[in-house]
Amino acid sequence: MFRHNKGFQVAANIIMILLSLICILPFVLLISASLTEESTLLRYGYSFWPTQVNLDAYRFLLRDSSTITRGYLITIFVTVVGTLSNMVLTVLLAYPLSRPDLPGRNAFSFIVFFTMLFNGGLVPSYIMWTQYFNIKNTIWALIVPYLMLNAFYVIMMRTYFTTNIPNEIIEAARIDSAGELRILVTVVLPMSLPMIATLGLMVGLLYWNNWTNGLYFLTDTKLFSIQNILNRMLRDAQFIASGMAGEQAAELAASLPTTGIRMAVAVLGALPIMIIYPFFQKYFVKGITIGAVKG
Amino acid sequence: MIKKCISILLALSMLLLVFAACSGDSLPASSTNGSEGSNAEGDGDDTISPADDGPTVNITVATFTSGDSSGADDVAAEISKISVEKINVEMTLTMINTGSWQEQLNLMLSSGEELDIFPVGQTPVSTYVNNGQIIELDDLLEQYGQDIPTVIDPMFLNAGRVNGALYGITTNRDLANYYGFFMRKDMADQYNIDYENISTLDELEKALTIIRDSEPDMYPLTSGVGGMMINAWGWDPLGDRLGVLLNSGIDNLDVVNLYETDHFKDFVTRMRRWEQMGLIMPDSANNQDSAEANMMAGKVFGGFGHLKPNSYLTKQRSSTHEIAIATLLPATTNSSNVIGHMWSIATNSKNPEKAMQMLNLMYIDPDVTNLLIFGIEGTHWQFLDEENDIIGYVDGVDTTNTNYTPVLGWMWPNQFVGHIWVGDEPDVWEVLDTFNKNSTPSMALGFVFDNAAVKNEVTACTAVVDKYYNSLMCGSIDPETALPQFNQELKDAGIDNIVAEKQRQLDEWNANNS
Amino acid sequence: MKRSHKIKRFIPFYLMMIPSLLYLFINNYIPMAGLIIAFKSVNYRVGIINSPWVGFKNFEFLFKTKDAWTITRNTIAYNAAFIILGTVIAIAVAILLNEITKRIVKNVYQTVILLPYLISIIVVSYIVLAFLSYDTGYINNQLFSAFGKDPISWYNEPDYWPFILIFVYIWKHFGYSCIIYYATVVGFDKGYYEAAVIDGANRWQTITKVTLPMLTPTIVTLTLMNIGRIFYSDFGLFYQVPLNSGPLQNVTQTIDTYVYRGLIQLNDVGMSSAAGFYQSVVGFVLVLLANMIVSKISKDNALF
Repeated sequence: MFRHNKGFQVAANIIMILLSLICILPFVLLISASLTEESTLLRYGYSFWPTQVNLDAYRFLLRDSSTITRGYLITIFVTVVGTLSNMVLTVLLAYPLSRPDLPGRNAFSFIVFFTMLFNGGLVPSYIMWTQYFNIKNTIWALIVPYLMLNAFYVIMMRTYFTTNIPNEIIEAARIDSAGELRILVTVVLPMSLPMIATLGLMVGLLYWNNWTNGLYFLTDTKLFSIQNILNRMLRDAQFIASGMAGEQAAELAASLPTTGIRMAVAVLGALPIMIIYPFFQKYFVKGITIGAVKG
Repeated sequence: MIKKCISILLALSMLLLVFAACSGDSLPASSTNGSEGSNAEGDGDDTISPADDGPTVNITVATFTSGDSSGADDVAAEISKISVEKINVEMTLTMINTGSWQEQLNLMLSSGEELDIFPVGQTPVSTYVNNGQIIELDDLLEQYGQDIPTVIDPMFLNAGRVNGALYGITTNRDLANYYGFFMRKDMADQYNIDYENISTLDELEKALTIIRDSEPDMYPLTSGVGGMMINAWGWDPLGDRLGVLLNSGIDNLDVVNLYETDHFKDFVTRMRRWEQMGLIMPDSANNQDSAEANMMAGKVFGGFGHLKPNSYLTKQRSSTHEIAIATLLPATTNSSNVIGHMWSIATNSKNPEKAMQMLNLMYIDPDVTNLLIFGIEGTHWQFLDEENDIIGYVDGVDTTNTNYTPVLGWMWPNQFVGHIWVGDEPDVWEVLDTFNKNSTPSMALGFVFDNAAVKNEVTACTAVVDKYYNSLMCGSIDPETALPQFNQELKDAGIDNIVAEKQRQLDEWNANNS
Repeated sequence: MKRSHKIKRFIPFYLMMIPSLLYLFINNYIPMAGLIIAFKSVNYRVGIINSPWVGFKNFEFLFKTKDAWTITRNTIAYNAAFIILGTVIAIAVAILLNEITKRIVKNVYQTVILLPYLISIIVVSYIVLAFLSYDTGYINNQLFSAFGKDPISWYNEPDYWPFILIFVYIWKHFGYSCIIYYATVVGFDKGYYEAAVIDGANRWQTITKVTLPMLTPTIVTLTLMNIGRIFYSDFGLFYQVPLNSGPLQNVTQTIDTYVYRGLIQLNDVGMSSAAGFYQSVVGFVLVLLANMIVSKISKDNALF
C-alpha cells in the first residue's frame, strides 16, 4: 500500500501477536494432551508440554492405516468435488442477483434467503434423498445433501459483487458485445478473487468438517469420511474402556487413553487444513486493479 | 414487492401440497394388513403358513455395535444357511456403530426402510408404541415363537407389555441388580478395611474417612461419567424416576414424588456432608471420565455401582488394580431392568410371521447364537477348552483387528445357550440365571408407564431434574436451600399430575393382573 | 425500452440461475412439506400424511414452563452479544490485518486465528475444562495458588458464565468471520484511498471515513442474516462447554438445549419439529421487520 504510519504498524502487530497467542496456545495444549499418558492427564491435568511423550493415542487411531488413508482420500475427493460444485452454483446464482436491474430480483433474493430460516427437518429430507434419489450408502450422500448450495454464501457473494464490481466495467464489456456469461468469467471473476477464495475456503471447511451427512446416510463403513472414522474410533475407545465390551477387550480396556484419543482425533481432523491453508492465502490478494475505468 | 413475494410463496406451497399428496402412498403405511412377502411372487393373503413352501423371505436384523463389524455380512451368510434350512428365511444383518445408532434407527423407522427386527431400550418402549413404530407380538408369539417362553422366564417375558399387549421380548442377561461400592482391593487391604462386612452407608463413611486421612493425594470416591453418582438408591424408578416406588417397590405400590421423600433428603444430605468432609472428588457432578478410569489413574479410591455376580471382573477389566466390592443393597429387579433392552418387530416389517420365526430361532438355537455373539468359528474365534465350552480369539486376531467385533452377549436374545469367553467363569450363565430368579422383584414388575397424557409435564420436569439431580447426588450444592427450590420448580412443572397419572395406571394394571 | 426486449436481455441471467434454483427447490423447498409434522401427532403405523392433526398442541411444552422466559431471554441476549461484539472484533481484526505490510507475517496471523474454528466444540469444552477444573485446571491450580487466592468452583458458579461463553464463542469464530470482511476490504478500489490521502486524511480518518462506509453493505447484510437466526443457538457451546452442569442452567439454557433436555426420553418428532418451527417463525418476523427498516433508510442495503 501507500504511506504507512510506523506507530500504527507496531500497534497493529502487537495486537495481532496477542490474538495469535490466544488462538494458538489452546492448540498447543491439544497437541500436548494427545501425546500424554492417560493417567497423567487425569491426575495432573493438562499442560503445555507433555512430561513424557506417549504415542498410544495415535497408535490406536493409526493402527488401521488403510482405513485412515481411505478416510482421508474420500474426504479429499468429497471436499474437492463438493466445493467446486458449490462455488459454481453459488456464483451462478449470486451474480445475476447482483444486477440491480434484474426483473424479479427482490423476489428471487427472498426465495434464496427464505431457505435460511425455515427447514422441514431431518425426516422429510431423509425420506426424499433415500427413497427418491437413492443416495444412501453412495459417495453422493456426502456431497449432495445440504452442502451443495447455501443461501448464506449466495448472499455473501451477491453483496460482494454489488459492492466491489463497478457497473461501468460491466457496461464497458457489454459495449464490446461480450455475452453475459463471458463477462462473468473473464471480467468479474478475476476481479473477485479475494471473495472467491473466501468462498472456496468456507465451503471447503464446510465439507471437510461435515460429519452429519455420513451419520445420516451411510452405514457402509467403507464410505466414511475421515470425520466419521475418527468419531467412530473415539466411540469405540470409550466403549471398550467402559468395560462394556466384555472379556474380549479386557487387555485393551485398561490401556486405552481415551482422553488422549479425543485430542488426537481433533488434531488428525484439523491438521490437513492447517497444512493446506497457507498455500491458499495468495488468493487473498486482489487481482487486477481497476485502472481501465479511470483511464 | 410484498405482493410478488406472496404470489411466489402461494405458487410454491401449491406445488408442495401437490407433491405431498402424491407421495402420501410412499410414506410408511400400515403393514399389518396383508403380509406379502418381500418377494414379488409372494402370495398376498393374510396367513403365510409356517411350512417351508413359498419363496425365501429376507429378514433384516439391525442392531448397534462397536468397532469394526465389516464381517457382519459373512456372519449373516452363515446364519442364513441354518435359517433357510429350518424356516426358509434369509437373514440380513445391519450393524451400526453405537454413536450413530439412535439417529439412524429413527431415520430407518421414519422412512419405512426395510427393517424387521431391532433392539428397543435406549428410548422407552412406550415411546415406540405411541409412535406406532413396533407391532404387537402376542399372537405372533403364540403361533411362531412358541419356544421363547421356555427360555425366558414368564416374569420377565411379561414385562414387555404396554397397556396389556406384548411389544418387546427381553434377553437373558443380568435382569436384576444389587447396589454396592467397588474399591481398590490393595488399599482396602492395606488399611484393614473389612469390605465384606460393610453393609450400611455409615460403615462405608468410616472406611472412606480412613482413606481420606491416609491417602492425601487420593479422593475416596467419585461419580461415573456425566456425573451420575448412582443409578438408583433403593427405589423403583417406574421408568423415568418421576414418581417412584420406595423400598425398590418390593412391598408397596404407592407412587410418590421421590424428591419430596425423606429417603432422598437423607441420601443427598449425607452426600453433601461427604463432599464437605472431602470424601468426594470436586466437580464430580461434571465428571467426563468414569470412576474406573479415575481409579486407574490413582486419583480415586472407588465409586458406587449397580452390580451383578462377578461384577468385580467387569470393573477390573477397565483397571489395572484388583477390585473389591462391598454390598450395600440386596438384589432387586424392576421393570426398568428388564425392559432396558428388548427385541421387537418393526411396523416396517413386511413379513412379521417370518420375523417372529427368526426371533424364535435366535432365542433357542446355539449355533445361531454363537454366530451372532462371537462370529464364525475358525475366523473369529476358536475353542480353547472344548469340554468346558470356553472359547477365545483365533491366533493372531484380537480386539483391534477382528472384523466382527464380538458384541456383548447380553445384547443378543439368549447368550445363555452360547459359549463362554475366556476370562468369564465357566458357570457364569447358571450363576446369572439363578441370580435373576432369586432376586426380589418389585411389585410393579411388568408395569410400563405410558406418558402420552402428560407429555408437557414430563418435558418440563425432565428439564428441572436435569438442573438439580446430579449436583444434589454428588453433594456439590447445599440441599438445605436447593432441595426446597428443586421441589418448588417441580411442582410448577406439574410433577403432581405425573404422579397421579402414574398411580392411576399402576392401580389399573394391578387390578388387571391379580 | 419495450418490456419484451427488456426481459430478453436478461435471459442469460435467468438461465444461469436455473441449476442453483433447482437445487434449492429440491434440497430446501420440497422437504419443507415436513413442517406439517409440527402440527401432527405422528403415528408411523398410518404414515405421516395420515396422522391426525393436533393444531398447536405440540407447541405447548415451550410455553407451559416457568423457564420459557429464561430460555428466550438467554437465547436472544447471547445472540445479540455475539452479533454486536463479533462484528466489531471481526472488522477490527480485518482492518488491522490489512494494515500489516509484510506478506509472510500477515499469512501467519491469518492461519493462526483460523485455528479455533477448526477445533470441534467438544474439544473446546475439554480445553475449557483444562482451565477451569476445580483441582487440576490452570486457573485454580497455577494462577490462583500463585497469588494466594482461593480456588473458585467454576462449574457451580453461574455468574461468570455469560462472560466465559461469550469469550469462547468470539474466540472460536472471530478468525472465520474476519475473513469475509478482510476479503471485502482487500477488494476495495485503491482509488478511494488515494483520493483520501490527497485530501489530507490520516490513518484513523481513512478507516472511519472510507473503509467503514464501504463495508456497510457487507455489515448490514451479515447482520440481517444473523438476525434471522436469532432464536437458534450453538448446541455444543451451551450444552457441552458448561459440561451440562445443573447449577449453571439459568444462564446457559437456551431454547435448543431446553428442547434437547426435555425431549431426550420422549423422542417426539412432532414436538421437536414444533420447536424448530417456532424458532424459524420468530426469526422470520424479526428479519422482515429489520429488513423493512433498513430499506427505508437505504434501499440498496436491504436483503430483499
